[in-house]
Amino acid sequence: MTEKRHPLGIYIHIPFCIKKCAYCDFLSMQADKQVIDKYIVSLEKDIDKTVTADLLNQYEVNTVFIGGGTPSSLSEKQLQRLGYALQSIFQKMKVDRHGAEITMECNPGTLNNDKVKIMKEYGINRISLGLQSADNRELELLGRIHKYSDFVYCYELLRRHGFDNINVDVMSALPMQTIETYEKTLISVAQLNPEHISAYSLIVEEDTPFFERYSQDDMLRSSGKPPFFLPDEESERIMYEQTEEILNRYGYHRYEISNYAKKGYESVHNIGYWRGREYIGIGLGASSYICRHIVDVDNNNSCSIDSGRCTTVRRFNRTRDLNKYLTNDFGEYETENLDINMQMEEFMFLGLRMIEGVSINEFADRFGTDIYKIYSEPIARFERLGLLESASEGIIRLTKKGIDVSNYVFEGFLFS
Amino acid sequence: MIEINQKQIRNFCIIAHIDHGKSTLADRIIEKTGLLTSREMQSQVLDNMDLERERGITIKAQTVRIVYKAKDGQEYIFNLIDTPGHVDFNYEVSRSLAACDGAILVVDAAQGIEAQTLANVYLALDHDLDVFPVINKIDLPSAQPQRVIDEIEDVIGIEAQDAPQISAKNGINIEEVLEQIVEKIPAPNGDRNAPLKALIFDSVYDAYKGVIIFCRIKEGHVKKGTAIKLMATKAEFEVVEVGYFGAGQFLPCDELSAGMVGYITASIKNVADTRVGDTVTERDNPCAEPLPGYKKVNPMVYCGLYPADGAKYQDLREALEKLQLNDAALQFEPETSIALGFGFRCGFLGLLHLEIIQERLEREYNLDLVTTAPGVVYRVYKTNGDMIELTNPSNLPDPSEIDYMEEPMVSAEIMVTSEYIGSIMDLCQERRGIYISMEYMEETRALIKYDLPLNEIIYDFFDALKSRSRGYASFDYEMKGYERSELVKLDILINKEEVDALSFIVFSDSAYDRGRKMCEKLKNEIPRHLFEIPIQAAIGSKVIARETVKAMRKDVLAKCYGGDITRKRKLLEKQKEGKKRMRQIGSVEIPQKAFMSVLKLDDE
Repeated sequence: MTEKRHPLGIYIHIPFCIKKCAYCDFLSMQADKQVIDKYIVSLEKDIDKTVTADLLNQYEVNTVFIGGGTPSSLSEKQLQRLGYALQSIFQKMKVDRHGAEITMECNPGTLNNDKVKIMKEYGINRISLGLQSADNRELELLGRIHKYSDFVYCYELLRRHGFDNINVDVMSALPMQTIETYEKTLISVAQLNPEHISAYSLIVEEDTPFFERYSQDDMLRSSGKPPFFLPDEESERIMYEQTEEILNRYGYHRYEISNYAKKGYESVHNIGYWRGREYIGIGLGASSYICRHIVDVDNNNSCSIDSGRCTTVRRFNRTRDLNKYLTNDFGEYETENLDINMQMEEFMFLGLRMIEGVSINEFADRFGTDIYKIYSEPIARFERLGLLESASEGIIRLTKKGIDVSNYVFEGFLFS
Repeated sequence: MIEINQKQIRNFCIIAHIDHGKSTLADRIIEKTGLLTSREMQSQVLDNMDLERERGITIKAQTVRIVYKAKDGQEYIFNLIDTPGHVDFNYEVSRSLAACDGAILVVDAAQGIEAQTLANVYLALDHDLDVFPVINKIDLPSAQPQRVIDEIEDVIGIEAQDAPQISAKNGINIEEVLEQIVEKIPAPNGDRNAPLKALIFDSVYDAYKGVIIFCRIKEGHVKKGTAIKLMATKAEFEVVEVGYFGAGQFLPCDELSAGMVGYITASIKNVADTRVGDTVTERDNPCAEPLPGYKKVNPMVYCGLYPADGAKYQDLREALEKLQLNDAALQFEPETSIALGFGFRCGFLGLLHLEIIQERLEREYNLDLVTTAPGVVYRVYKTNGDMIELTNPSNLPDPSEIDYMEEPMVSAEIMVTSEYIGSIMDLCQERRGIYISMEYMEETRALIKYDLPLNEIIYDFFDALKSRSRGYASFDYEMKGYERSELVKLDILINKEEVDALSFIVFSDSAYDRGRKMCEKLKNEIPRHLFEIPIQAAIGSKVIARETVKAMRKDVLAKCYGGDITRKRKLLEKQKEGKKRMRQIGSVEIPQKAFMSVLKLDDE
């Protein structure tokens, strides 16, 4: 088969944590060792069933992302089994261990020498470390299990084992955070010189302890009144603006709304999400986004997302019910069929998250129509407002001001 | 045909302060007389609109005929006419009472006499009804039946020592009530052979039968084929059917004669022909004069109703027309607003009536509505001698053409325990009330009388009253007439553009305060835009208050990964959906609920 295979991302979910953080609304929980053991058995079966030889005909797996939860909270033995499973993917899909981006998320409170060794041995080549803040008081309020010193220790441990692609997550707009403490977090992290930094604003999500604690505060703030615990509106905005300023100084460039990297170290896996590449999710609640005809291997006409004007793409999840998953329920839940309009909408509101913007040619290739035919009104309107610009070589992107109010712009690309 | 002896008929109603258990007692009476089994009874049979059941209030008069076998061995026909329980519907109440010969007064054994108890009793006595009291809720731990009995005798002056002490909720002592109905409520009289004279106390519209007139035959008789005439509207019809009221159904019979309560259908297409209070007589043998007390009810409160989706204008018109079929007091005419497009200026009996219509339009007709601030009918006397009745603030003539204005006043009676007298008087004072009198009903409770401008009580007076008296004050009012007043039109400018739908008439001394609150409220309702939005309140060209909606400088969806995309999409869709329900005024998008925010200025 000489035809070009399409890139595919694989996401593997480990929904377990030592302790759930107070702001977290991801699918994660605390669990006994026995439960986690069982989960890994199911996960292996999920991989066997999902990652098949058929896939290989059409796709080239270029990224694997093990996320959570806290994958690094697994015991050494459990990690080893996860490692074997990873190997089976590599073999089946003929993955180039060095060429592909293989990321694992780690919590600084859960790493040790043995675990790092196993991770390295089984092909993990990128680490994402959840730090969030360099201020121990802020960490405690977030309900994190680690201190800043634990992070520094882990970071150095990973470096010693030769991990040369590390991301660090930091957060702004935290309870009791000040402009100064946030600045300190950014500088401390940047001075360690990781290859990648993700910087988010805290969002007070429903059904979290934070919602009970701070939703009132959040409402005060959004109505322009001073909150009690959260930074006020003006401070929050300054933190947000500082992020780019400081990180630029340390040689990071912003390539997505919340993501910064040294040149060449942008996250391939995450870019896949924003560029509408296909991905397969394995594990509890994991999400997949895939062209409908993936199983139709005999059909040479099988369309693909990036060049075939695929009319039906679907997104679906694994069950979010752990007991169901443990009885090997790998069925599709919450399936969404994305028609061509929805695909265009996502092409825009995800693609514009990338600082380099969206390509007019790529739009034409994917949808067989001119972007200005479809979106002339919002493009013109946002250009007039100075939120969008047409850069050179057929690129449309957000302006600096547009990035700041990106949410407002994205909405303009929905059809109804 | 079985001859029905007048002596075997009892026509009565139940009167009570709100929440004292009127509808529950009605349910028990129906249940005990065996018309329905307990299992068939949906709680509160008489309140048959969903809305009524939910709110626990009676909006339209409901009537049921039941048969009771008394201890004397005789069977009696009870016509129970359930009356609306709110001041908005005072006229309907008075007509329902006029259809009765007696009334059961229900008083809560814990709370005793309240303002509406008094108002209703006086109304019943005015109609020469024989009233006997019933003490309800004796099962409550705080019940003090003897105290309440003494209070009834002292305050109202009716015999109460042998009043049945009941719990309608638990079905205790209901038989005693039934026996007293037989004993204490007089049988009707009236001559079957006199010319027909029947009182209309309600009507409903039925798609097949046309208007169904609810009436009490005072004199004469009526049957199928009788040519009738409605004396006030002068409309004439031929009777198609007569009958009486089963539980939730109409049961035809051969004839209605003097003393009976029942219904008449005559292929009547228009409810407006059958006004409550009018007299039905025989066309060819009319009675000498109509029954007393008829008046045409006029709306007291007006507001603009607009479809949230402009395309639903016709639907709104049709829905209003249908509601009007059953509700002659509802009035509407088309109007246009620059801000809201095409809609209707609607007239209501009061704020509750307004809310009920609004909710029914939304629920039963699935319409999304934008309501403008309710206002009363002002009289504007122009310098050229003309007088206009102003129902829409936008139509106020130029100040140079206005000589003076008048506003409607009410006489209000408030009953309150002594500890809250001060705060209630403060409230009335703040609302421009004129103190009339105060008398103690007993040591700890007083009846305070004030004259108040109607426009001060249509917003949230009732809520304020409740909160300042911890729920202990009760309130009743009646229209008093018009008085001259200093009134101004307050305009709201958003981003320097006047929004007509937000204008309202206000007492000039309150204008500054109202304007300021209005601007604050709007500031919180209007979402941020990319630019700063000034919100101003102005009288004529003079700005009296100002707020600013700050420009949006940051609006970012922080992170967005695989499983998150669906959520982010939903978020954006919701955001967009919200915008759709906004009104564009110039370059500003205003949420529809901002137009209603004027209703709740005193929330904080």
